[in-house]
Amino acid sequence: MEAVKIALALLKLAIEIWPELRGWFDSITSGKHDEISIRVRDVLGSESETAKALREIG
Amino acid sequence: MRLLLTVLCLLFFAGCTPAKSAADDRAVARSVILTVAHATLAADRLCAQYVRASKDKAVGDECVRGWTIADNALTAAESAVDTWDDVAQNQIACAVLDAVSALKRIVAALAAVKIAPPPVVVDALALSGGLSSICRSVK
Repeated sequence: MEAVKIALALLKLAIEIWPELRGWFDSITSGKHDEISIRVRDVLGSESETAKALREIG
Repeated sequence: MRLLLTVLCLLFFAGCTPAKSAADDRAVARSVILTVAHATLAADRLCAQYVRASKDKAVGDECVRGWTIADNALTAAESAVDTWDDVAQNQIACAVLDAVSALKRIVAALAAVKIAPPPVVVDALALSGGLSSICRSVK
């Protein structure tokens, strides 16, 4: 019973961190672990804040 | 901060250090690109605040145009850093300069309604002079 609980906990953890693991694995295998593409996109986002504001005011 | 950025920029783009590695150059290029990205974000947020408060669509439209140009230019710059061959390295200064020019456009729109840019934007604009001369020299 304990073993099943531990296995389920590990499975849950693996599912939760899978996106990070996959991103890390992809970056290592592609040899582009020092690229900045994702960080620039993280800073600017996919859309201008002003564009959102313009939509809000109609 | 402005001085530090300018020095970093010049060290990277002008290649004036006696012993620097490609990894160092790349790291400096990244930091310059990210500085302009953060400045663009700050200016855009300021513009969004103003638009929500004033309902001024004309200023908003100008800010969005500037943001879009800066976004495209920074995307081109980051691709050049990722590629990092001779051609790509020559393109970085011009691409970042395009982003700074777009940032100036947002700053001008804000200045027209008496909003001063925050320090991070002023720092990024200070890169303009150095980038401009380097961009001309590699063209």
